[in-house]
Amino acid sequence: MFIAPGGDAYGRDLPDAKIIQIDGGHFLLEEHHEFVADLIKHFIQG
Amino acid sequence: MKSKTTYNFIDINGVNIFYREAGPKDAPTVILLHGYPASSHMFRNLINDLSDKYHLIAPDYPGYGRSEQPPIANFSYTFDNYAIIIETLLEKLDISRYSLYAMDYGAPVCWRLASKHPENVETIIVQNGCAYEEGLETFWDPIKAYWKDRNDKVAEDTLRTFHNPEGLRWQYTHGVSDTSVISPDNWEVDLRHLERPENGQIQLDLFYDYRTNPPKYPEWQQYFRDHNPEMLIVYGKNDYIFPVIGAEAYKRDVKNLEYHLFNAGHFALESNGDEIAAIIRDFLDRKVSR
Repeated sequence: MFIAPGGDAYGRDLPDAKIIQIDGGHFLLEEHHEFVADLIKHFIQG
Repeated sequence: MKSKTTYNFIDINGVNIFYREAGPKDAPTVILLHGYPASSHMFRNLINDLSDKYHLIAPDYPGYGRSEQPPIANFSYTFDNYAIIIETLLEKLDISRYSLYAMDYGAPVCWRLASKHPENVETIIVQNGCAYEEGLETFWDPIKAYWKDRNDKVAEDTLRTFHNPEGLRWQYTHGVSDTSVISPDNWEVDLRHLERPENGQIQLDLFYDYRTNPPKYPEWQQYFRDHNPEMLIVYGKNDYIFPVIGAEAYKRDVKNLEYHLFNAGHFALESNGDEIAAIIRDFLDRKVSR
């Protein structure tokens, strides 16, 4: 539905964006919620 | 590290049985037996909480959750048959040593299994499930009337209200001090299987078959005395369906008993899941940890 190049494209306008492509589908949290939660925690804490 | 839950189907005696599984397969196994009118969905958080260290299996009985619902004409909806289904499932999964978690309808399934195979049982965790006559109070009056006369239409109509949308909501929220922590997903998920054709009759058949349990209470109590299973009771003390007097009663016969009451209702895991998971973890760490 929302393919990977659409994620990478944010990099054009947000050069500081941290873009992480994960081996998962549309409802990513169903498969990888712990991994994603860790990424978010580290991102927010800086 | 917690492990992911997998959602699986397996053919057991010609019925497609759904089960949730998580945790290392070589870790001590806990079989989670759900209550009426829920499914393994009721264990979704507990499974995740314990999955770093324990191997969890939570099946749905035929007619519940995501398991197949064979036509009444082809399948006997009884506690005896549910126990056979679970026994066969464990054989097929090659699980010969296990702890059992018994809640509500899970209790009569658990006692059949445990008393038949005491050597397989490592521990038993009881949450709002019965093995004593005095545990069947007012809630059970219309069910007892139905046991006396299956054509008692007044009793039948009352029984049907227990799992209509309003009744379901009541089962999950009665006795809960802050109902805002109870997810409405619970009854919405249950309604998916309860609204299948014939399912209403299956619920009545099981209410009727529950009459086979009280006569077995003395033999199950004898099993407690003879085999001294390691038992943990974690009980919602405001449960109207299985009131706390039925929890107290285990103290008469179970020597190796650890006993914890919670300010919770029938589905105590929904409001007090974190505390209960911590107590179960501590209990299992001491009793079966390898």
